[in-house]
Amino acid sequence: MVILILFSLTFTASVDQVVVPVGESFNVSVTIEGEDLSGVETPSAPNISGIDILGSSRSQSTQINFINGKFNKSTSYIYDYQMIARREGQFTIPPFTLKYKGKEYATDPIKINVKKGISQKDASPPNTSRDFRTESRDFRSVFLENEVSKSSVYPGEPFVVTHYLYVKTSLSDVQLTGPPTYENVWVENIQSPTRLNFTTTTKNGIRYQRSLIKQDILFPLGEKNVQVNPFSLQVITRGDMFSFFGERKTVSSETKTIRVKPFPSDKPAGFIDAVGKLDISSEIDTLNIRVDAPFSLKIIIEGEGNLNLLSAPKFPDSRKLNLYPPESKANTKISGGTLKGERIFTYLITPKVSGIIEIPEIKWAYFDIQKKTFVSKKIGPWQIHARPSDEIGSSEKETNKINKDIAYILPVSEKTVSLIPKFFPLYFIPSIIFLIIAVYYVIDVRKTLGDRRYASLKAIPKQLKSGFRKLEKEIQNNNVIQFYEDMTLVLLKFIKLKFHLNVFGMKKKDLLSDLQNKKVPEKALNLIEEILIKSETVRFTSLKPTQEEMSKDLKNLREVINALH
Amino acid sequence: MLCISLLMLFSQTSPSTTEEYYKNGEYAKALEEYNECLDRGIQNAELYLNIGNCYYRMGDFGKSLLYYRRGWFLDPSNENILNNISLFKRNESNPNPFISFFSRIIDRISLRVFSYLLVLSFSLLVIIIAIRLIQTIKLINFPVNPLLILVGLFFIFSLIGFSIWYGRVKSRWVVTTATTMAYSGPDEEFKELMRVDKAEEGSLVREDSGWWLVHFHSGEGGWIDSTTAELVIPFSK
Repeated sequence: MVILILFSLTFTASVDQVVVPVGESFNVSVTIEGEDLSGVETPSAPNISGIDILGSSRSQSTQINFINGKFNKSTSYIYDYQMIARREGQFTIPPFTLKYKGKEYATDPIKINVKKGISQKDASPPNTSRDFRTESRDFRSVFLENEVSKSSVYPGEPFVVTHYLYVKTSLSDVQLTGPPTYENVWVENIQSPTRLNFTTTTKNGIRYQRSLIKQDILFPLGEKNVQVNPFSLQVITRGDMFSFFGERKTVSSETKTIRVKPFPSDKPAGFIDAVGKLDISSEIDTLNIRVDAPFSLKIIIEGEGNLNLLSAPKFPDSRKLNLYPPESKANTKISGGTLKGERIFTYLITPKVSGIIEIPEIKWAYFDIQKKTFVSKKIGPWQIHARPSDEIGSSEKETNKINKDIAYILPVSEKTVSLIPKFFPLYFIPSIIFLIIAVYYVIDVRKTLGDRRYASLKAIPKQLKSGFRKLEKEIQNNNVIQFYEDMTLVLLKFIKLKFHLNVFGMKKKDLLSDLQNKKVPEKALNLIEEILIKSETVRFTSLKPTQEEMSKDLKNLREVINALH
Repeated sequence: MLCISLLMLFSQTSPSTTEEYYKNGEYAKALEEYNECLDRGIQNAELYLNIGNCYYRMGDFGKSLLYYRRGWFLDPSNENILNNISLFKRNESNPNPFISFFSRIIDRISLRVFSYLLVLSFSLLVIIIAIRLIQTIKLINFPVNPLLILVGLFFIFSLIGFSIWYGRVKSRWVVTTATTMAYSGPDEEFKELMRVDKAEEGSLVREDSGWWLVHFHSGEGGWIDSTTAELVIPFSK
């Protein structure tokens, strides 16, 4: 049993049997092992009540190993104490002690059972002809055992299983009948020696020769418990005094189950199955590419953990990019009971459209085994410039164009440019007015040309205007006769234009009668008659009306025309 | 003497103008200066181009495209603006060469210029029509009919150009300024339709409590958080 390992010194004690007959001798071996044992003293043997030390002997061995390119020299001093138990009962052999280079070392106490009535053969290691698996562990002379570095793990968390062959007897032959198998795990082999290399070791206080059969590193796949299945060896022991030709027998290891714990529930975005202590980085081969031309984006995950099992980081969907399934490459090695190195995922991407395209950032997370927490990381985003596939020109030319455009800024003036001119709809108003006038004019001219009645009606205001102007002038000049002549003329012209009557060839009576037929009001007829009589009277008599009377008559004329027009 | 020399040296190396800030890579400071110009009511294509360049240099491509577009609305013939917009999106030319040629011309003339062209062509058309009408009543020796065709085509061109540009303004053009998700309804509880990158362009169709229904120019659409996009022409609201 290993008691203490300090620096390079190992100090252990073991017995050759744990069930001892009364009065029979048994052997206690104390081993000092180390690289440099110069000056080491003989260990101090303890006093044991009921057990006598018959004598002791010392042997020495030196072992040289070549491991990882280095030579290791190891020296062992083995002190064999022959003891005898004088009475029956449970005994504890107290620790042996050793002082070396100012430090004190002690072995673990060893329990033995001293019994009456058993022979040396019964007490010795078990009979090889018996079923090995039914034997007590302490009596087994040959057995297989698998040592597991962890009893419970998370999915993907690596752990080491080492398969050893323990023997207390000499073997003439060993054959592996079935290799170690596991369930629900990914397996990476660490070492599988082609020949057995036995070293002395102590297990449960008993010295054995131990040889490594196989060592694997396992990564649980999912949350199912991992099972280490039994595996078997067929061994042939050398003959001894009880069995001259030796015995052929099969030894098997035990089944072991390693519990797989579920991850904490607070899984972050981007966590898939990465476990360990990892880091993520990226490399993009170009930022300037043609549409539909492929470029690669490498995502590198490095560190230690389940690198060979990692799923590719999930790439966010992009409508502007075609993304092909990534290629994966692993550069890993097993070191210190874990997997170290890097895993490279190479994504092939083609832009669907031209322009600046943003490859979105990738969120990624792993479960840190030591801290038992999730660690979130992210890479990206990346901006690429995709040129049209039919564009002729080198990427260098394109880059220069970009640099020219973005590198320089333009002088900014103080002017304010509006999107649309202010009061924009008002700009159309002059044109619209002009158009309306033009249309009205044309319509009017057309009407004048095509309708004689309309033309004559239209001529009235012009005729009246010039007539009234003349009459006013004659009042000012007190030109009485001319005034009444012109007044008669203006009135008759108006009646002619308005009612289309040939007034100048008609008698006064006929005229009034025609006007009456034209439904001219009575009052207007009276005024017309009065104006015509007054005109005739003035023109053909010596009556000379004053300017006031003339103005009054002009007013009556206006009244008549207004009433009729 | 030493103090004076140091002072002169400092005054030479310290950027005193916006252009120097930009040349020295101090884009945030240059942007502050340009934003002050905007606050003073200055608005022109060059100013928007420079703001877009600052955002581009700072890596904010969404805002960069937003300001390039604002400048493009004011001066679509500005070569610098056109080149910088082409960094984000190439104009897909129409397979019909006539339409392609016609639309290329229209895309180079601003809404403001089209407004003036529309007024001018309308006025000319009115004059020609008036002359043509008068010719029906009076004899005027003037080649009205060929002119009427020419001026009519000029008016139709101006009207189409004005309508296209005015339609762009009225469509409430938006540019996404942040990467976001488009949903089937105005809330994150609705189904996710697609991921929308920065500098995507579309038209705002409807608003609902801080969410915008946007039809993207790619043909797709969805509801996005209104804080992740901006209207190119805010006054067209």
